[in-house]
Amino acid sequence: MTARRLAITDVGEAAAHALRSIFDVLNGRTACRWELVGDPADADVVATSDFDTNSSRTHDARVRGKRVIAIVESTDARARVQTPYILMHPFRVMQVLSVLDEIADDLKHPELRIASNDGPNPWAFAESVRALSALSAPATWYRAQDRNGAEIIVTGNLHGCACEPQLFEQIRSGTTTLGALAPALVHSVPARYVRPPMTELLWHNAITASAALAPWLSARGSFRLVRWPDFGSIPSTRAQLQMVAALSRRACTPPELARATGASEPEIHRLLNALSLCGLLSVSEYTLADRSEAAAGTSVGGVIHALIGGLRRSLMRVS
Amino acid sequence: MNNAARIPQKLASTATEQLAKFGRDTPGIGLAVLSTTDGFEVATYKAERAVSAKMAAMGSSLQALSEAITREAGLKAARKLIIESDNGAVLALGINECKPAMSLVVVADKSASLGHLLWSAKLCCASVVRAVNGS
Amino acid sequence: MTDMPELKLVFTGPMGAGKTTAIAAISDMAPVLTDVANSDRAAFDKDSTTVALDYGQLSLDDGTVVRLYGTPGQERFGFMRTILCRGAIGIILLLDGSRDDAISSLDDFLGGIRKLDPMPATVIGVGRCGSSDAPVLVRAKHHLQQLGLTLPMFRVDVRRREDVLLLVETLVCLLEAGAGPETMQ
Repeated sequence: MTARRLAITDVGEAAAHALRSIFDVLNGRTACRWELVGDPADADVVATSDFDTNSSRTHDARVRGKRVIAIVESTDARARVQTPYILMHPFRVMQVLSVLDEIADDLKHPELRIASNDGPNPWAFAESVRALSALSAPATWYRAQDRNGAEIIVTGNLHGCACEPQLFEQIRSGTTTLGALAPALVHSVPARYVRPPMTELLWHNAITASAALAPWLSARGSFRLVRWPDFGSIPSTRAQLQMVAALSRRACTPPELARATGASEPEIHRLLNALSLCGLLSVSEYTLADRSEAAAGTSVGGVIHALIGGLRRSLMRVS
Repeated sequence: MNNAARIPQKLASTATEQLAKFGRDTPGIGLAVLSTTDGFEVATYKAERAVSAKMAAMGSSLQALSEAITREAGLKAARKLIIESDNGAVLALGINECKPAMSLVVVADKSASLGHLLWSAKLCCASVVRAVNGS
Repeated sequence: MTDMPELKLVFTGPMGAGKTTAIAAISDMAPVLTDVANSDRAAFDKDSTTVALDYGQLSLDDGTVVRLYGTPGQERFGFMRTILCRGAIGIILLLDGSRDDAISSLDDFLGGIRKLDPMPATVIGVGRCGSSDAPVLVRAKHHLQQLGLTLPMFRVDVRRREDVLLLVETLVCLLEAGAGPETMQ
């Protein structure tokens, strides 16, 4: 069994003690054998509460290819974290096990992880929005930046946002990537900033982020529409309309959407990502009943099919 | 019943009198409703409120459809629409010679003679036009 | 062709919402109108009002005619809505977002549509509402949610052909997904 080394550093006494106790319980039950070491320099993984990206210790750990587990003790702190591995104290044993096994798996392919650490995380902004939406007492303002330092400011209740017009155009076209939101002190919103509707910001961010499914969505999931997006305010394609119509009628898995509409996998993923981030999608339990309902619902009578085809050819909307 | 913005009260009263005369002089009249072309009552004869409101609206729809089909058929202005049923008739006439233009809907039972009904209704409409234009 | 069922789309909604304009935007021919002078300017500041129906049509390449009907908007012509919606395969409900009674209109018209059996596929277009986060749109979405309806509702300008086509295209997608009268399946 592979052995990995974990160092716990700059963690509150109670959290550190709890983590060590869980470690004793888990060792032997994890995917690899874990050893606690004192010096982060000797570790493969560093667990720390000092996850400020400007901290030299955390920066050093990341630069040397070590994985960092952020130890947080509040949901506010959790919202500020930009590392994929997070443990919140009080810890749950299964949560710790899951994170350790995930890191162990990740450590088997160090070259892939280091490559992705160099580039921007396309989901940093979206995941921070999701974390923010779960907070019961958010700050008044939050700020995110792209790699050029252009900022977008967002209200803590996620009801409003503001940024330079050029940045919003880049977000719409997917030519920039926003980092995670962090609390900010905003005295006034510059007059030159535009204030696009929040749903439009989230839609454009999510639909351009990646052709892969968002990390919080499962390819094995079955999805149902909660509410239609306003395609009068955001661009739409025929494939998107077809997929949303299908999702409004019944729960669909990505393969079922592909079969029902002929949409490509990237098209399906991008749409599901955008619907999800905008709160328009629910994940349903996929049952045999759904399967037969889905099968029954996808067949359209021959006559209506011909009429629809003719109508579509006549209207020829640009999409 | 009457909206002064559409038809002055004096005219509405005159129109009511004309409808009453039409009803008295023409056997078989069940009810009659004079309305604006957009379906508001101006005057009624023997029509309860709920019925007259519906007749005013439906009469204006019938008149408008008559004029539309007449246009599409390449004919000149529609004058009247006659609906015959087993036990009576409905007559809808357009009154376009005054401002505002109006519609007259008449419901008659089968004792009414269609010819007499049409002639009598025409006279009624002419007297309404005189009253409106003369004021 | 006589065996082909008709494809009947109905545009409905309150007065001034743009039904006549929408039909004119996509009809092959100049629509048949039954507009007359509006004598109630206090209630609706419009020169004219539809008192029977608007009629337009789209001819498909196989000779099938898609009939486009517009209903009157005012409540006293509600009987025409009932007549015109019979047999409709799809309904486009247009609302005027600038009016204070936009939400009550939404409620009234949806109530009538839901009574149709079977209920046709329905798409909602809201005009004159500024930005996509306009309060009227937020309230309308909330109202749909309260009614338990997952219907498409889009901010539109029916003077733009593209916007009307979006509404019809969405209706077509709903029909493809199995919405609408089962007799057409």
